[in-house]
Amino acid sequence: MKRKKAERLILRSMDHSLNPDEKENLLRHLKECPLCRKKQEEYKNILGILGEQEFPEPKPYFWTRLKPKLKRDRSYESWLAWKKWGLRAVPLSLLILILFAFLVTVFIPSEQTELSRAEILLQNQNPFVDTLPLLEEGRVENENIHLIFTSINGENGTRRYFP
Amino acid sequence: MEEKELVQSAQKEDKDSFGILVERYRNKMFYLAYSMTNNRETADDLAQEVFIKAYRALPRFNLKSKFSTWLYRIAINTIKDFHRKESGIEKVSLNQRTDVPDAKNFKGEEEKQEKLKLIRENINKLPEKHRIILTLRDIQGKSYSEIADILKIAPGTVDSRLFRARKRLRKLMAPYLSLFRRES
Repeated sequence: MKRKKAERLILRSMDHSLNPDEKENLLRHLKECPLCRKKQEEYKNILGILGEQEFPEPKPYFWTRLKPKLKRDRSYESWLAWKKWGLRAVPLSLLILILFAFLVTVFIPSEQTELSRAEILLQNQNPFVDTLPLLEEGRVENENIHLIFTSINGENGTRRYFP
Repeated sequence: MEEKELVQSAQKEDKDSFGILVERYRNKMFYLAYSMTNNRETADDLAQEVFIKAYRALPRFNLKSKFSTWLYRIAINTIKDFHRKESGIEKVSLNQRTDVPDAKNFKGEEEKQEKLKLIRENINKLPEKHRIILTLRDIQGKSYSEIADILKIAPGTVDSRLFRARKRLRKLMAPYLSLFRRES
């Protein structure tokens, strides 16, 4: 067994048990290799001391000192929550607006739009509906207009002026 | 009360439940910070900061991992941030010892403390990722799987990183190794 492999196994054996083959190989190697035995001893001592060390206690009244800081920071947290939900509210309100606009378009009847003359003819309607009441009033100027229109359709239509 | 229930209560702004959690973990957080900074005042401040951050982030904790794992993750990040800010100051205070202490001058507990001081000084010379993994495994006694969860790395990476960290520590301690062979 190479020394590097042995060193790895020495360290692993300190954390958890090795499988039987590895254990046997390591033990055999350690019997033969004084350098690895020395390493094992050093590692055991170093890591042993490290694991056994006693730590000082934190300063007294840890929770008492911590509690007011939590209170202060909680307002920051609520602001963060507002920010989080506020950001989500923007696309949501946009969506609602779009939906509202869609519903308005679909369900509220639109005002009748003015049709072009060609469209009125296609629908077999009289294009002069609006002008008929004027013509029927019998006023002279309106009569003239009437004549103008009839002359357009007549073969020998002439424009005449009636003062 | 189960830890999960305490966490759920604390999430609903129950400070007493959070207080119980603080009492359970304050020493562990303090030890972690202390072993990474070697300063009691700093460790205390860092431990407080860890709990403040945890309390703020608690509503977002989804209980998928263990509370302790989540708390350790916060602690590691807090300590990393601290080291990033204080790196200049730290380097000055760590590389002070150049002499090899004479083991004959120390006996019993005093000898042990002197050895411990040597180990700590040399751990602090290690790169941060090696320092963290050594602290979690060899000081805090965390299992490989817990370390893997805390650091978000594969268990195989824990094994290899730990091996390199310990090997490097031994190398750094080469001038003092005679002290550590005497005991067996």
